[in-house]
Amino acid sequence: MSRGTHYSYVNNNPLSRIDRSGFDDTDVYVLPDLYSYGTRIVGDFGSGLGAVGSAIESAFRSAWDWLTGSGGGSQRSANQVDAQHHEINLSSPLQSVTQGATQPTDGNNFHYALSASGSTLGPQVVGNPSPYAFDPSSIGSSLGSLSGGIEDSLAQSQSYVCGPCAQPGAQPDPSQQMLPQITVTAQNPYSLSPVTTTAVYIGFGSVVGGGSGTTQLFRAVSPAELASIKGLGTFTNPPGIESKYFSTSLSGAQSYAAQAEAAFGDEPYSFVQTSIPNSQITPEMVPVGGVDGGIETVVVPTETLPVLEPPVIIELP
Amino acid sequence: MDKQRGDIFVSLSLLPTASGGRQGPTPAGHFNCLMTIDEQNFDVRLHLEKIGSISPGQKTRVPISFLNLKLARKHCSVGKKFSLREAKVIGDGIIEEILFSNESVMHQG
Repeated sequence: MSRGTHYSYVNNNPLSRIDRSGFDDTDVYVLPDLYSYGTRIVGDFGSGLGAVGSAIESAFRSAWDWLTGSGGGSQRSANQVDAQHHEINLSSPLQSVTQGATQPTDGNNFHYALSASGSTLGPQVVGNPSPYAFDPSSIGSSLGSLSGGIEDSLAQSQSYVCGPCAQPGAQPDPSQQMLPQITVTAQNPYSLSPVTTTAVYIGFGSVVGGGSGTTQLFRAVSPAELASIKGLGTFTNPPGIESKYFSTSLSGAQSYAAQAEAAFGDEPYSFVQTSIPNSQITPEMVPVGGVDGGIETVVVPTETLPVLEPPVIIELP
Repeated sequence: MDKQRGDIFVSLSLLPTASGGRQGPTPAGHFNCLMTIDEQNFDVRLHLEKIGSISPGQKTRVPISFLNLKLARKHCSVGKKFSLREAKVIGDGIIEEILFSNESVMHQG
């Protein structure tokens, strides 16, 4: 690696690469949909979305709790709805980070998920006690881990969009739930100007209440269940088991497996992925606040298993 | 720590099927479900090796282990009420005895 200018530091690609260690440059992730607006978020996604995703989700979830809880105060008002934010798009990787119903059903467009959540999510979340006390500075610190310290500074702001009125052309309705929207600005020392991205998080358990589209599910499966899946190509339950537990993220399933192996001495787990129509998810199937510290979980009754897509075995390196 | 022994010992009752409880008895060896304490949900394992399966409507006493004891321990105290759930609430109970020690929590990592 040559030295002397900031740009040679990352092989003359200071706008697209970072070097967190000083010895190796890696890709800077760019949100493609937002890039056309001149906005992006930086971070090393080279090792996968796990840790980075957790950081982003934690930040968004904290903001969500703050906005929907008693701490929201006067900021939850319709006059803070910004009409231009109806058109916000999120890229697929970020949507997979934010999980669940945030995944789009019409390409990269976020409108669908927002419209699905607006009128039904509120009673499930507003006023819900949460372990995630919001500290505005946590946004910066969470994303600091994302960036590996490469940014000189991080700043964030919160504003709001109205769930139902996030439909293109709809009018804001102050009686409806406000959705947190976070703008993150990162100053990369090797960029000429700050970079900014804006994202909307529709909230924990946002699939509650149905709607169209599907939600991705992940499950840690024992060797016996894996053999069953390979043989039958579908999920089944043995007698006495009346439900299956899924995480909405691979990292959530992996967390369960690691803990079960350590705590119970279970055999090593494998991982499968499937999806469920949102219309099949009832509020009872989504434990409020997640499980074991906030892992978003969907509990699928045995009788609902047939509507799941055939499980796909995830091959991990 | 012997996880078969459990982290806590509880008395519990499963809801009758007619009241929205399970359709049938649990498995006999062990049974995984969610425990809700203080509005927090925890993965738990009921150790049924000695008492066998539990039927809807049945009351019993059983040792329970937490998947993540470090997270759950601060919510555990004798007399604390909880509910059990799968895709719906299937029963409730009360903690009768704390079996874990601070040392066991430390060892859990």
